[in-house]
Amino acid sequence: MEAPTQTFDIDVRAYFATPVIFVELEDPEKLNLELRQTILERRSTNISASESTQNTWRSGWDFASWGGEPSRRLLETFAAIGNDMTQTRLNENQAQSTEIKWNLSSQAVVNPCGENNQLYAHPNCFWSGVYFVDDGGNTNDHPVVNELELLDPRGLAPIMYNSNLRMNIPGGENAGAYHQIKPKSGLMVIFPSWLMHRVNSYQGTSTCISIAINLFVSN
Amino acid sequence: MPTPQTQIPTKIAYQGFFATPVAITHLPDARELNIALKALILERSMSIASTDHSNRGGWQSTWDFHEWGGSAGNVIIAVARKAASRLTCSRTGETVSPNWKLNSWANVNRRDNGNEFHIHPGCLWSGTYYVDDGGTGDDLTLGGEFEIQDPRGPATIMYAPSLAPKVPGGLSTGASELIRARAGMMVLFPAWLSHSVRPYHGDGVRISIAFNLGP
Repeated sequence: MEAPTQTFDIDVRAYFATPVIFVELEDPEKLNLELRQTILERRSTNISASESTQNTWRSGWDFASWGGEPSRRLLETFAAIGNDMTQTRLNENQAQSTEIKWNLSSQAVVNPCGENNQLYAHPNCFWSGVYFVDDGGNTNDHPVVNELELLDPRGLAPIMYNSNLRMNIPGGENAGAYHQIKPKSGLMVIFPSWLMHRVNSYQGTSTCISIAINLFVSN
Repeated sequence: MPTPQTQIPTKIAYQGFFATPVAITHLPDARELNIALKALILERSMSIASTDHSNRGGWQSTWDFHEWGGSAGNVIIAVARKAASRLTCSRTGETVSPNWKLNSWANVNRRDNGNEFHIHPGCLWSGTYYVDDGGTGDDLTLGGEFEIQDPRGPATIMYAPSLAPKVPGGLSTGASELIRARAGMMVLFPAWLSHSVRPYHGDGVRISIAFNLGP
Protein backbone atom coordinates (compact mmCIF):
# COMPACT_ATOMS: atom_id res chain seq x y z
CA MET A 1 0.00 0.00 0.00
CA GLU A 2 1.29 3.43 -0.93
CA ALA A 3 0.67 6.77 0.69
CA PRO A 4 -2.42 8.32 -0.89
CA THR A 5 -1.37 10.56 -3.72
CA GLN A 6 -4.73 12.28 -4.04
CA THR A 7 -5.41 15.38 -2.03
CA PHE A 8 -7.13 14.58 1.24
CA ASP A 9 -9.37 17.09 2.93
CA ILE A 10 -8.32 18.58 6.23
CA ASP A 11 -10.95 20.18 8.40
CA VAL A 12 -9.04 22.67 10.57
CA ARG A 13 -11.20 23.59 13.56
CA ALA A 14 -10.43 26.62 15.71
CA TYR A 15 -10.87 25.91 19.42
CA PHE A 16 -10.69 28.15 22.48
CA ALA A 17 -10.52 31.43 20.54
CA THR A 18 -10.44 34.59 22.66
CA PRO A 19 -13.23 36.97 21.67
CA VAL A 20 -12.29 40.51 20.71
CA ILE A 21 -15.10 42.79 19.61
CA PHE A 22 -14.45 45.75 17.36
CA VAL A 23 -17.15 48.40 17.54
CA GLU A 24 -17.15 51.38 15.22
CA LEU A 25 -19.47 54.17 16.30
CA GLU A 26 -21.41 55.75 13.48
CA ASP A 27 -20.70 59.46 13.05
CA PRO A 28 -18.66 59.77 16.25
CA GLU A 29 -17.27 63.25 15.52
CA LYS A 30 -19.78 65.25 17.60
CA LEU A 31 -19.63 62.81 20.51
CA ASN A 32 -15.82 62.83 20.42
CA LEU A 33 -15.70 66.62 20.48
CA GLU A 34 -17.94 66.69 23.54
CA LEU A 35 -15.97 63.97 25.30
CA ARG A 36 -12.68 65.66 24.44
CA GLN A 37 -13.82 68.98 25.87
CA THR A 38 -15.16 67.39 29.05
CA ILE A 39 -12.02 65.32 29.64
CA LEU A 40 -9.54 68.15 28.95
CA GLU A 41 -11.50 70.45 31.24
CA ARG A 42 -11.34 67.85 33.97
CA ARG A 43 -7.62 67.45 33.43
CA SER A 44 -7.07 71.18 33.85
CA THR A 45 -8.54 71.11 37.36
CA ASN A 46 -7.59 67.66 38.64
CA ILE A 47 -4.20 66.02 39.05
CA SER A 48 -3.65 62.60 37.54
CA ALA A 49 -5.17 59.86 39.70
CA SER A 50 -2.16 57.64 39.26
CA GLU A 51 1.48 58.57 39.43
CA SER A 52 2.67 59.00 35.91
CA THR A 53 5.48 60.35 33.87
CA GLN A 54 5.74 62.71 30.94
CA ASN A 55 2.48 64.25 29.88
CA THR A 56 0.12 61.46 30.90
CA TRP A 57 -3.06 62.10 32.81
CA ARG A 58 -5.52 59.55 34.18
CA SER A 59 -8.82 60.25 35.89
CA GLY A 60 -10.09 58.03 38.69
CA TRP A 61 -12.38 55.15 37.76
CA ASP A 62 -15.27 57.59 38.11
CA PHE A 63 -15.55 58.94 34.59
CA ALA A 64 -19.31 58.20 34.60
CA SER A 65 -19.85 60.58 37.52
CA TRP A 66 -18.45 63.65 35.73
CA GLY A 67 -18.61 62.74 32.04
CA GLY A 68 -22.14 64.02 31.57
CA GLU A 69 -24.59 62.96 28.88
CA PRO A 70 -21.96 61.92 26.30
CA SER A 71 -20.34 59.54 28.77
CA ARG A 72 -23.72 58.08 29.67
CA ARG A 73 -24.49 57.28 26.04
CA LEU A 74 -21.04 55.84 25.46
CA LEU A 75 -21.08 53.64 28.56
CA GLU A 76 -24.60 52.40 27.93
CA THR A 77 -23.54 51.40 24.44
CA PHE A 78 -20.58 49.49 25.89
CA ALA A 79 -22.82 47.77 28.45
CA ALA A 80 -25.43 46.83 25.86
CA ILE A 81 -22.84 45.24 23.57
CA GLY A 82 -21.20 43.45 26.51
CA ASN A 83 -24.60 42.13 27.52
CA ASP A 84 -25.35 40.97 23.97
CA MET A 85 -22.01 39.14 23.87
CA THR A 86 -22.67 37.22 27.10
CA GLN A 87 -24.56 33.99 27.63
CA THR A 88 -25.50 32.03 30.71
CA ARG A 89 -24.08 28.56 31.28
CA LEU A 90 -27.15 26.49 32.00
CA ASN A 91 -27.71 23.35 33.96
CA GLU A 92 -30.36 21.21 32.31
CA ASN A 93 -33.10 22.12 34.77
CA GLN A 94 -32.19 25.76 35.15
CA ALA A 95 -34.30 28.42 33.53
CA GLN A 96 -32.64 30.87 31.15
CA SER A 97 -31.64 34.02 32.95
CA THR A 98 -33.03 36.87 30.90
CA GLU A 99 -31.21 39.64 32.62
CA ILE A 100 -27.71 40.02 33.98
CA LYS A 101 -27.31 42.99 36.31
CA TRP A 102 -24.23 44.82 35.08
CA ASN A 103 -22.20 47.62 36.57
CA LEU A 104 -19.46 49.74 35.02
CA SER A 105 -16.27 51.49 35.96
CA SER A 106 -14.46 53.82 33.58
CA GLN A 107 -11.41 56.02 33.43
CA ALA A 108 -10.33 58.75 31.02
CA VAL A 109 -6.70 58.65 29.85
CA VAL A 110 -4.78 61.42 28.08
CA ASN A 111 -1.47 60.72 26.35
CA PRO A 112 -0.74 57.25 27.73
CA CYS A 113 2.98 56.91 28.23
CA GLY A 114 2.94 53.15 28.44
CA GLU A 115 3.88 53.08 32.14
CA ASN A 116 7.05 51.22 31.21
CA ASN A 117 5.07 48.77 29.11
CA GLN A 118 3.40 47.39 32.20
CA LEU A 119 1.02 44.51 31.59
CA TYR A 120 -2.33 44.45 33.26
CA ALA A 121 -5.70 42.74 33.35
CA HIS A 122 -8.89 43.59 35.27
CA PRO A 123 -9.78 41.12 38.03
CA ASN A 124 -13.37 41.27 39.35
CA CYS A 125 -14.67 42.20 35.90
CA PHE A 126 -16.08 40.25 32.94
CA TRP A 127 -15.58 42.51 29.90
CA SER A 128 -12.99 45.24 29.55
CA GLY A 129 -12.28 47.62 26.75
CA VAL A 130 -11.26 50.96 25.47
CA TYR A 131 -12.91 53.70 23.45
CA PHE A 132 -10.64 55.97 21.42
CA VAL A 133 -11.90 59.56 21.64
CA ASP A 134 -8.89 60.97 19.80
CA ASP A 135 -6.21 58.79 18.23
CA GLY A 136 -3.77 61.69 18.38
CA GLY A 137 -3.20 61.75 14.65
CA ASN A 138 -2.36 58.07 14.35
CA THR A 139 -2.44 57.53 10.60
CA ASN A 140 -0.57 55.14 8.35
CA ASP A 141 1.59 58.05 7.19
CA HIS A 142 2.36 59.23 10.70
CA PRO A 143 2.23 56.32 13.15
CA VAL A 144 2.53 57.48 16.73
CA VAL A 145 2.89 54.05 18.26
CA ASN A 146 0.36 53.92 21.11
CA GLU A 147 -1.07 50.56 20.05
CA LEU A 148 -3.15 48.36 22.30
CA GLU A 149 -1.39 45.01 22.65
CA LEU A 150 -3.28 41.86 23.64
CA LEU A 151 -1.07 39.02 24.87
CA ASP A 152 -1.49 35.38 23.91
CA PRO A 153 -3.28 33.86 26.95
CA ARG A 154 -1.66 30.49 26.20
CA GLY A 155 1.74 31.88 27.13
CA LEU A 156 4.88 30.86 25.29
CA ALA A 157 3.92 27.21 24.77
CA PRO A 158 3.13 27.64 21.04
CA ILE A 159 6.66 28.83 20.22
CA MET A 160 8.88 27.21 22.86
CA TYR A 161 9.79 24.14 20.81
CA ASN A 162 10.65 26.00 17.60
CA SER A 163 10.29 29.77 17.43
CA ASN A 164 10.89 29.83 13.66
CA LEU A 165 7.64 28.01 12.90
CA ARG A 166 4.02 29.03 13.31
CA MET A 167 0.61 27.36 13.09
CA ASN A 168 -0.69 27.98 9.57
CA ILE A 169 -4.06 29.44 10.57
CA PRO A 170 -5.47 32.99 10.59
CA GLY A 171 -3.67 34.90 13.36
CA GLY A 172 -1.13 32.09 13.77
CA GLU A 173 1.71 34.58 13.37
CA ASN A 174 0.79 36.07 16.76
CA ALA A 175 0.90 32.77 18.67
CA GLY A 176 3.12 33.00 21.73
CA ALA A 177 3.24 36.78 21.36
CA TYR A 178 0.58 39.49 20.97
CA HIS A 179 -2.00 41.07 18.70
CA GLN A 180 -1.52 44.76 18.07
CA ILE A 181 -4.49 47.10 17.60
CA LYS A 182 -3.95 50.60 16.29
CA PRO A 183 -6.06 53.34 17.94
CA LYS A 184 -8.66 55.01 15.73
CA SER A 185 -10.99 57.81 16.80
CA GLY A 186 -14.50 56.37 17.16
CA LEU A 187 -13.32 52.77 17.65
CA MET A 188 -14.26 50.74 20.71
CA VAL A 189 -12.49 47.45 21.45
CA ILE A 190 -13.98 44.98 23.94
CA PHE A 191 -12.20 41.86 25.27
CA PRO A 192 -12.37 39.50 28.27
CA SER A 193 -11.16 41.16 31.47
CA TRP A 194 -8.71 38.32 32.15
CA LEU A 195 -6.77 39.01 28.95
CA MET A 196 -3.39 40.58 29.72
CA HIS A 197 -2.82 43.77 27.75
CA ARG A 198 -0.70 46.90 27.59
CA VAL A 199 -0.63 50.20 25.74
CA ASN A 200 2.51 51.44 24.05
CA SER A 201 3.56 55.03 24.76
CA TYR A 202 2.02 57.81 22.71
CA GLN A 203 4.79 59.51 20.79
CA GLY A 204 2.85 62.05 18.76
CA THR A 205 2.75 65.78 19.23
CA SER A 206 -1.04 66.12 19.36
CA THR A 207 -3.31 64.89 22.17
CA CYS A 208 -4.35 61.24 22.45
CA ILE A 209 -7.50 60.58 24.49
CA SER A 210 -9.09 57.25 25.38
CA ILE A 211 -11.56 55.87 27.88
CA ALA A 212 -10.94 52.54 29.63
CA ILE A 213 -14.13 50.72 30.56
CA ASN A 214 -14.83 47.65 32.72
CA LEU A 215 -18.12 45.78 32.88
CA PHE A 216 -18.81 43.66 35.95
CA VAL A 217 -21.74 41.92 37.60
CA SER A 218 -23.60 43.81 40.33
CA ASN A 219 -23.76 42.10 43.70
CA MET B 1 -28.91 48.64 32.73
CA PRO B 2 -28.75 48.89 28.92
CA THR B 3 -31.42 51.17 27.57
CA PRO B 4 -31.42 50.65 23.81
CA GLN B 5 -32.99 54.00 23.00
CA THR B 6 -29.91 55.84 24.27
CA GLN B 7 -27.34 53.64 22.57
CA ILE B 8 -25.20 54.96 19.78
CA PRO B 9 -25.58 53.22 16.39
CA THR B 10 -22.59 51.00 15.76
CA LYS B 11 -20.99 48.52 13.39
CA ILE B 12 -19.84 45.47 15.34
CA ALA B 13 -17.26 42.93 14.18
CA TYR B 14 -16.30 39.89 16.25
CA GLN B 15 -12.89 38.28 15.90
CA GLY B 16 -11.54 35.16 17.60
CA PHE B 17 -7.90 35.74 18.57
CA PHE B 18 -5.31 33.11 19.58
CA ALA B 19 -7.39 30.14 18.41
CA THR B 20 -5.91 26.68 18.87
CA PRO B 21 -6.21 24.50 15.75
CA VAL B 22 -7.24 20.87 15.70
CA ALA B 23 -7.19 19.26 12.26
CA ILE B 24 -9.52 16.39 11.40
CA THR B 25 -8.86 14.20 8.37
CA HIS B 26 -10.82 11.17 7.16
CA LEU B 27 -8.48 8.91 5.22
CA PRO B 28 -9.56 7.69 1.81
CA ASP B 29 -9.70 3.88 1.57
CA ALA B 30 -9.47 3.54 5.35
CA ARG B 31 -11.36 0.24 5.46
CA GLU B 32 -8.64 -1.77 3.77
CA LEU B 33 -5.92 -0.06 5.82
CA ASN B 34 -7.74 -0.71 9.07
CA ILE B 35 -8.15 -4.44 8.44
CA ALA B 36 -4.39 -4.78 7.95
CA LEU B 37 -3.49 -2.53 10.89
CA LYS B 38 -5.91 -4.22 13.28
CA ALA B 39 -4.45 -7.69 12.62
CA LEU B 40 -0.90 -6.41 12.95
CA ILE B 41 -1.44 -4.46 16.16
CA LEU B 42 -3.52 -7.11 17.94
CA GLU B 43 -0.92 -9.75 17.15
CA ARG B 44 1.84 -7.54 18.56
CA SER B 45 -0.19 -6.72 21.67
CA MET B 46 -0.38 -10.42 22.48
CA SER B 47 3.36 -11.07 22.15
CA ILE B 48 5.03 -7.93 23.56
CA ALA B 49 4.42 -6.34 26.99
CA SER B 50 2.74 -2.94 27.27
CA THR B 51 4.60 0.24 28.05
CA ASP B 52 3.16 2.58 30.67
CA HIS B 53 2.83 6.34 30.16
CA SER B 54 -0.42 8.33 30.34
CA ASN B 55 -2.52 5.25 29.68
CA ARG B 56 -4.95 3.96 32.28
CA GLY B 57 -4.96 0.29 31.45
CA GLY B 58 -4.95 -1.09 27.95
CA TRP B 59 -1.89 -1.96 25.88
CA GLN B 60 0.57 0.56 24.46
CA SER B 61 3.45 -0.34 22.17
CA THR B 62 6.95 1.04 22.22
CA TRP B 63 7.58 4.30 20.30
CA ASP B 64 8.65 2.55 17.11
CA PHE B 65 5.37 1.75 15.34
CA HIS B 66 6.75 3.33 12.16
CA GLU B 67 9.40 0.59 12.08
CA TRP B 68 7.03 -2.37 12.32
CA GLY B 69 3.74 -0.95 10.96
CA GLY B 70 4.32 -2.30 7.46
CA SER B 71 2.91 -0.73 4.33
CA ALA B 72 -0.39 0.20 5.98
CA GLY B 73 1.51 1.88 8.79
CA ASN B 74 3.57 3.79 6.23
CA VAL B 75 0.39 5.22 4.74
CA ILE B 76 -0.70 6.56 8.13
CA ILE B 77 2.70 8.11 8.81
CA ALA B 78 2.83 9.67 5.33
CA VAL B 79 -0.58 11.30 5.79
CA ALA B 80 0.46 12.55 9.23
CA ARG B 81 3.58 14.17 7.75
CA LYS B 82 1.61 15.82 4.96
CA ALA B 83 -1.04 17.13 7.33
CA ALA B 84 1.60 18.50 9.70
CA SER B 85 3.34 20.31 6.83
CA ARG B 86 0.05 21.83 5.75
CA LEU B 87 -0.58 23.12 9.28
CA THR B 88 2.86 24.68 9.60
CA CYS B 89 4.30 27.87 8.15
CA SER B 90 7.25 30.18 8.73
CA ARG B 91 7.09 33.19 11.05
CA THR B 92 6.12 35.29 8.05
CA GLY B 93 3.44 32.90 6.81
CA GLU B 94 5.41 31.20 4.04
CA THR B 95 5.02 27.54 3.15
CA VAL B 96 7.61 25.27 4.74
CA SER B 97 8.53 21.62 4.21
CA PRO B 98 10.08 20.48 7.47
CA ASN B 99 11.98 17.23 7.54
CA TRP B 100 9.73 15.71 10.21
CA LYS B 101 11.26 13.47 12.83
CA LEU B 102 8.74 11.30 14.56
CA ASN B 103 7.94 8.69 17.10
CA SER B 104 4.76 6.63 16.95
CA TRP B 105 3.05 3.91 18.88
CA ALA B 106 -0.06 1.74 18.83
CA ASN B 107 -2.75 1.58 21.53
CA VAL B 108 -5.31 -1.11 22.31
CA ASN B 109 -8.04 -0.12 24.74
CA ARG B 110 -10.83 -2.25 26.13
CA ARG B 111 -13.55 -1.57 28.72
CA ASP B 112 -12.61 1.15 31.28
CA ASN B 113 -9.29 1.94 29.54
CA GLY B 114 -8.37 5.53 28.68
CA ASN B 115 -5.57 8.10 29.03
CA GLU B 116 -4.89 10.74 31.67
CA PHE B 117 -4.46 14.38 30.62
CA HIS B 118 -0.98 14.90 29.19
CA ILE B 119 1.05 16.85 26.63
CA HIS B 120 3.98 15.92 24.37
CA PRO B 121 6.99 18.17 25.03
CA GLY B 122 9.87 18.12 22.57
CA CYS B 123 7.82 18.18 19.36
CA LEU B 124 5.52 20.46 17.37
CA TRP B 125 2.45 18.40 16.42
CA SER B 126 0.82 15.35 17.96
CA GLY B 127 -1.88 13.18 16.52
CA THR B 128 -3.92 10.01 16.57
CA TYR B 129 -5.30 7.77 13.85
CA TYR B 130 -8.25 5.56 14.76
CA VAL B 131 -8.01 2.02 13.40
CA ASP B 132 -11.09 0.78 15.29
CA ASP B 133 -13.35 3.07 17.33
CA GLY B 134 -14.92 0.17 19.27
CA GLY B 135 -18.38 1.45 18.32
CA THR B 136 -17.90 4.86 19.97
CA GLY B 137 -18.32 6.64 16.63
CA ASP B 138 -21.97 5.64 16.47
CA ASP B 139 -22.96 5.09 20.11
CA LEU B 140 -22.66 8.16 22.34
CA THR B 141 -23.00 6.07 25.52
CA LEU B 142 -19.73 4.20 24.99
CA GLY B 143 -17.39 7.06 26.00
CA GLY B 144 -13.85 7.04 24.64
CA GLU B 145 -13.96 10.68 23.56
CA PHE B 146 -10.78 12.60 22.81
CA GLU B 147 -10.83 15.54 25.24
CA ILE B 148 -8.84 18.79 24.94
CA GLN B 149 -8.42 21.32 27.74
CA ASP B 150 -8.67 25.10 27.35
CA PRO B 151 -5.00 26.12 27.02
CA ARG B 152 -5.81 29.59 28.39
CA GLY B 153 -6.08 28.21 31.92
CA PRO B 154 -8.50 28.81 34.79
CA ALA B 155 -8.31 32.63 34.80
CA THR B 156 -10.88 32.60 32.00
CA ILE B 157 -13.60 31.27 34.27
CA MET B 158 -12.68 32.37 37.81
CA TYR B 159 -14.75 35.55 38.02
CA ALA B 160 -18.20 34.53 36.77
CA PRO B 161 -18.45 30.77 36.15
CA SER B 162 -22.15 31.05 35.32
CA LEU B 163 -21.41 33.38 32.39
CA ALA B 164 -19.61 32.81 29.12
CA PRO B 165 -18.84 34.83 25.99
CA LYS B 166 -21.67 34.42 23.47
CA VAL B 167 -19.40 33.36 20.61
CA PRO B 168 -18.73 30.05 18.83
CA GLY B 169 -17.17 27.72 21.41
CA GLY B 170 -17.74 30.24 24.20
CA LEU B 171 -19.33 27.67 26.51
CA SER B 172 -16.11 25.63 26.74
CA THR B 173 -14.16 28.65 28.02
CA GLY B 174 -12.07 27.50 30.98
CA ALA B 175 -13.23 23.93 30.46
CA SER B 176 -12.81 21.32 27.72
CA GLU B 177 -14.06 20.17 24.32
CA LEU B 178 -14.81 16.61 23.24
CA ILE B 179 -14.03 15.09 19.86
CA ARG B 180 -15.68 11.81 18.92
CA ALA B 181 -13.37 9.25 17.38
CA ARG B 182 -14.32 7.41 14.20
CA ALA B 183 -12.43 4.60 12.49
CA GLY B 184 -10.48 6.07 9.58
CA MET B 185 -10.18 9.51 11.21
CA MET B 186 -6.94 11.28 12.03
CA VAL B 187 -6.70 14.10 14.60
CA LEU B 188 -3.71 16.43 14.55
CA PHE B 189 -3.15 19.06 17.26
CA PRO B 190 -0.39 21.18 18.83
CA ALA B 191 1.85 19.00 21.00
CA TRP B 192 1.49 21.50 23.89
CA LEU B 193 -2.31 21.11 24.03
CA SER B 194 -3.33 19.12 27.12
CA HIS B 195 -5.51 16.16 26.12
CA SER B 196 -6.93 12.91 27.43
CA VAL B 197 -8.98 9.93 26.33
CA ARG B 198 -12.13 9.31 28.34
CA PRO B 199 -12.69 5.74 29.55
CA TYR B 200 -14.27 3.32 27.08
CA HIS B 201 -17.55 1.76 28.24
CA GLY B 202 -18.02 -0.81 25.47
CA ASP B 203 -17.26 -4.51 25.08
CA GLY B 204 -15.35 -4.13 21.82
CA VAL B 205 -11.77 -3.10 21.25
CA ARG B 206 -10.44 0.36 20.44
CA ILE B 207 -7.26 0.53 18.41
CA SER B 208 -5.37 3.69 17.57
CA ILE B 209 -1.98 4.85 16.36
CA ALA B 210 -0.48 7.91 18.05
CA PHE B 211 2.45 9.96 16.80
CA ASN B 212 4.57 13.04 17.52
CA LEU B 213 6.20 15.16 14.84
CA GLY B 214 8.93 17.75 15.16
CA PRO B 215 11.41 19.19 12.65
